[in-house]
Amino acid sequence: MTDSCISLFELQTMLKESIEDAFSGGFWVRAEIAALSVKGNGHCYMELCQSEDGKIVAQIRAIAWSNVYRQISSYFSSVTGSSLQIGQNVMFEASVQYSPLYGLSLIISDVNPEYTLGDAEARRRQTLEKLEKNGLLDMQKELSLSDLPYSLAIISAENAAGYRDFMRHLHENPQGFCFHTELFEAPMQGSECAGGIAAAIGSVMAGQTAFDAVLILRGGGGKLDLGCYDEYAMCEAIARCTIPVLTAVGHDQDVHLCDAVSYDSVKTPTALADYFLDIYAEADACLDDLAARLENSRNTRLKIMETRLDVLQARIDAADPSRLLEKGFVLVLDAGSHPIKSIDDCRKGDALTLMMREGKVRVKVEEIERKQK
Amino acid sequence: MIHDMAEFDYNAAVADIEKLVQQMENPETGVEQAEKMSVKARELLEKCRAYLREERQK
Repeated sequence: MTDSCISLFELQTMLKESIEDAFSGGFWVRAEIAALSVKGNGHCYMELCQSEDGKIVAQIRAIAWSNVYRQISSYFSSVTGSSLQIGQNVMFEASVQYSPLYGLSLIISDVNPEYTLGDAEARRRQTLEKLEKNGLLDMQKELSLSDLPYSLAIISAENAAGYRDFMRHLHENPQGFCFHTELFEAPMQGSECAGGIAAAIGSVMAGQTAFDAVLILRGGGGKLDLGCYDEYAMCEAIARCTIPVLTAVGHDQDVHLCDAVSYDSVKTPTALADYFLDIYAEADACLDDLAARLENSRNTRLKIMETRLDVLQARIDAADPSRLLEKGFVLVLDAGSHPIKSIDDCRKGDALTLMMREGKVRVKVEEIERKQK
Repeated sequence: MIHDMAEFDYNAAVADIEKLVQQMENPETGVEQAEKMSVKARELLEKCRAYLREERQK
């Protein structure tokens, strides 16, 4: 029995030959990146795995030599907008290598970025179905935003350009509208993003401040960088938040699931600042309208009063005898200074006064001649 | 200046201004009464505008 004993090296060599013969040439393999490390010499070492029901059922080391890694990482980024990173489902072309010293490895020679994009889209569809099934899609839509939202809880990263753009745009508004903002920091991309944002929403809800809205701000990014905004954990936290959540996850065309479950969403952080400024501008415009109506009612009232005075003036003018005298008419007054309007008011011998433009003339009635009818 | 939200109700103030303006627009409202309403409405307008622009107590 001991005659057949072989050395470890011989065993490993036999294993190497058997394995490499059985898996000669390259083949395409699907897996998840469980670990990734690029060394100083440019070689990239990964752990690839496959999970089922949350348990790892297969795992293997994979290596992309520096010259290959440079090419495939650049190609992958150009198609997906994201670098190769932990948590991604990927499809690599690889060959099997067995080393007596280091064991089994996959040597990567190419990557299929379209598979990663397609996988992300498939997972997104599954998450959407789950959100719909659990009644989470419309929960936020049933909330209402306060008329003048003032206290805003912002979930973002302090050094993120999108956050800075938002703060500048909101607080430096030319109309001088005032808001209270409080930052709840969270990782805004990567594998910790969804959990981090969900935790930040929890912190907002647990705090003492009664916020009017929760804002999730993230500047632009590649499709896969923003893939975490399609994750169920984040979407569920948004949907279950009792404060309206508004999202501005920087992207031009795609709508992420976090947008679908939120109270409202806009394209960019700056647009979200405008969202709130517009609410205030509208309220301010209403006040301007009321001020204008106030001024108009005052002017209208003055105008009416002035018109009434004009009418009175016209009546005074019409009734003023001096106006008639100015025109050359003569006014005849009896002894009591009452105007004589009829021949019947005069008798022969009555003393009358004739009022003219220049003065008065005292006269006596000598004769009365009545007009023949 | 920090406004105490408990003391100032923006929506109620806007409703009051609206009511005052409607009364002022009614020609049957007396001049002196309208002038008093105008003063009150302007005061409220000023407070509402400030409310949009100043810090509030939370």
